[in-house]
Amino acid sequence: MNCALRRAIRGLRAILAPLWPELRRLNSLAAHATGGRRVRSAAFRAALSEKYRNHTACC
Amino acid sequence: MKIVRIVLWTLVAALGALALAVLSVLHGEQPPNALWFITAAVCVYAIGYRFYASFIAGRVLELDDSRPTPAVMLDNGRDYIPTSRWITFGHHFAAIAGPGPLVGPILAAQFGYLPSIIWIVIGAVLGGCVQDFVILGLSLRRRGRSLGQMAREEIGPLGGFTALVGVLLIMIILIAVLGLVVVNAMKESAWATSTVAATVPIAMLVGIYMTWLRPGRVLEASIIGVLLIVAAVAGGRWVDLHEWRRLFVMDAAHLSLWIIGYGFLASVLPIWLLLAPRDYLSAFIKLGTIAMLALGIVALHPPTLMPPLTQFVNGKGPLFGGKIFPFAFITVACGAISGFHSLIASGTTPKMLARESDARMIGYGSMLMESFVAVMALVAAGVLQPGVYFAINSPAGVVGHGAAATQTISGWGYPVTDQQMRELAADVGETTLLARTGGAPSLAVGMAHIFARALGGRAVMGLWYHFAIMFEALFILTTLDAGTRVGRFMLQDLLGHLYAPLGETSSYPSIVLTSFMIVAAWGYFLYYGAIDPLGGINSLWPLFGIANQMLATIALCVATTALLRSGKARYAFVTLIPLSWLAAVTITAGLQKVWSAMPNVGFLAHIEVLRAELSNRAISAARAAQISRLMFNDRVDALMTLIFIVLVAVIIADSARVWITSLAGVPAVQEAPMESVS
Repeated sequence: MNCALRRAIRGLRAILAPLWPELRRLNSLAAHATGGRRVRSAAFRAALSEKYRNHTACC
Repeated sequence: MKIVRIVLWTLVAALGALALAVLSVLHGEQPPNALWFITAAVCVYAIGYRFYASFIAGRVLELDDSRPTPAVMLDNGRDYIPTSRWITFGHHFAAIAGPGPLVGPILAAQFGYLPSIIWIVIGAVLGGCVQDFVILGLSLRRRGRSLGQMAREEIGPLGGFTALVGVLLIMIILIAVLGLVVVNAMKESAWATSTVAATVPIAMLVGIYMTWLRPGRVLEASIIGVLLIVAAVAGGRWVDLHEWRRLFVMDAAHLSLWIIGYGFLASVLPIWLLLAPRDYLSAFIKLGTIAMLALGIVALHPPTLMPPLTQFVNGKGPLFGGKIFPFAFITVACGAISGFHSLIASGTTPKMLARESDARMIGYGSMLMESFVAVMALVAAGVLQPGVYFAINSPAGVVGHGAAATQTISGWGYPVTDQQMRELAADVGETTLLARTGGAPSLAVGMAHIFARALGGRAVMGLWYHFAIMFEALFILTTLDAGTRVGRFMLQDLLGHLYAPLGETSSYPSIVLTSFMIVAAWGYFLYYGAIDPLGGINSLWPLFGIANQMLATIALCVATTALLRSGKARYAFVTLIPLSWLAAVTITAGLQKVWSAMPNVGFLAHIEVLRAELSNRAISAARAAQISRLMFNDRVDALMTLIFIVLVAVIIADSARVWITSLAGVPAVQEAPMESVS
């Protein structure tokens, strides 16, 4: 049982591994890549403004 | 191998047919178990996805992985990003899943569960999923163009303008009705109000964390936010027992003013401080809670208590007036088809797809998931005793107050006692659950019932109830924030043509003025809904349903036009069938809402009833003033409905003009040519 569980967790990790960096890049809106905190903060705020410019509310 | 597949799919079809038969006629004396709902839905979805979506992908849209998508062509690392289909699926589903599929089926359950389950499942497979998928596919071939741009290019400037006005009007009604749902869930409840109020500073904290303290660390910030929100749900109980309670106990009118003020602030504050962090938090809690609810229903498979049909198929229901056709279809709304999805399917999503074939899973598959959420909401309503369901959802103006309300409802043949309602209210930590119109409280009671059976029992019903209220309020407020801001941008675009400085989106006076105008527009409907003795939902939700289906009509007109113009007339039935149905539903509902002779349906008939009451000299001055307000409100509602009918008629007529031209002449293809994309 333990062995099966370990295999399942390993399988899940293998599936998620390639998704993880992509998710991080998407979430951080590419603002984590360069510069110090102030620069990253400004880049992140600018990216959020652009992202939410036409972000439609849905029901 | 082929034979195995044929046998397998035949079994799936037979099981789905059996489940639908059990739900409709074979259930015997007792209403069926919740598992039959899940089985019927999953089987129909599987067949729809395997065969119909495959047909649309292969024949209608001719998806081709050798063609680069907009994300590949225009990859800029920001909005155009080729993304894994699983992440895009999650992103798209989180964007389309709002409170509509949760609230709509709950309200439509006044007819019984049968009309809702049939429309949710069939409507999604043949209508909602088709709309989302085709619009996504068309946008993919047009460099990620928006619905408005496609309407202008495919139909013409009138079509584009109609789409723009339609979106602006629907936004106003949508925000008002969702605001009313959350107001009715929080009124007179310190626990609910304090919990929901706490989400504002929590969202701000998350915003500061992910913007200033650890820029871009969205996941860390969201985990902290989710933990704080769970603590706020438990903390709400403490507030309810503390002297601070009086700060949070408010009637509907006062709460609506707070919501209006909040909407204005959310629109003028920087995005990173409130809107974006609330959106991230909402997405995490939304996905987690929906998964929990699905697991709970499957694991516990509770028996449903709601009958397949109630006596209110006669059109005299207490929640809202009108017969099954067209009002069940208007009320279920987003669980079967939602015009709003076409904005998402032609917004961020087409700019993320790495391969054209992913559109099937994301466009068609996400809507199937949303439809499944609607089925779960219907099950959550179905596990309540019908008497309890009607006691929570019927407005005091219809059934009276306290014991009188339970007597009226018992008189309909749905037994419920005042004592039973008091005990239920005490179990969930509320003073009363009577006349909590809007659907959110009854959904929360149903969810708490399911969650508490799985974890914690009756002792923690209050925690689960308020967790469910917080869950609903969180993404209702997210919709309210984002909708107000988008409405503000649209208004700035429009007003900028009249006076250029008003169009400057970074000018603070312009931001404040246009935010005020948008908030005043939805605030009007919200406030008058909150003080309406009939609960407000009875007139606002059908108006919202009409508006939402009207937007779907616009999207399907665009899709049909695009198919005809690209020489695919033989496949136009794919969008023409749902378009014809929606046009019939929307126009019939609109005409009945204005001109029906039944005062609980028609706005004008209701005005006549109020006028008769006003002519009675014995009424008090306060009641006379209230009647005058209600009459004015009815006139505004009638005017809005007429505008929706005119918009639908204009877009259909303008599209028909293009269809006739296309069928008569040479097709004009609007797709981005292959050579320009390689």
